[in-house]
Amino acid sequence: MTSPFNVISENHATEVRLEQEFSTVQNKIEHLLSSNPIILFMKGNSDTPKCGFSANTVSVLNTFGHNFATFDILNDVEIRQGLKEYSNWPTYPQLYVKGELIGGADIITELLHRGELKDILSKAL
Amino acid sequence: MLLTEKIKDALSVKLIDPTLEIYDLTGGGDHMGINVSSSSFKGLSLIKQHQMVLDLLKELLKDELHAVKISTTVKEE
Repeated sequence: MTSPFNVISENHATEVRLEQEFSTVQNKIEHLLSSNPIILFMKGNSDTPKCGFSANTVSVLNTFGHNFATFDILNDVEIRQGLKEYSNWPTYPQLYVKGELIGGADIITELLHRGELKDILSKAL
Repeated sequence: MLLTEKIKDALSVKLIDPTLEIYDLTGGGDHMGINVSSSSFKGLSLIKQHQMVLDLLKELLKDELHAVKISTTVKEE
């Protein structure tokens, strides 16, 4: 009997992987950003997040009901290093909407509290 | 010079008339929480505000400052 209090919002995350080879890490990143309107670069994936901040961010995003992609940076050290330089942001997770860096866990939580996250995410629809 | 003074100086280089609250997160003097309010943040997204602060603290973050927890607000003139 599932507990009535065990409310887990439906999981709208799909893990994406790189299917083809790319000449530079820049191309890899830009391919991922252009083919996924909302993408979260995180440690692990939504089923098995490997870091508390990544897990929190997935659950925050799931409350909005938009589908989003996740990419496990632990599977690709080139992207893990390259993305930090690409967007001048030192930590993970990193959320991108329409190719623009929105922020890490702190900023996403702050945007949630300020009620600004909803509009930012709907820009991707 | 105290680390908090160095942080103030580093931020004041570019931020107009910043109001700062600096507190020690762990008691060890190298994980600092920084609340900064400045009119320089006006019109910038939250991420850009944080990046601006991180860039200004780049040198300090190389050595004395191990981690920062930043929160930024726009100061109305």
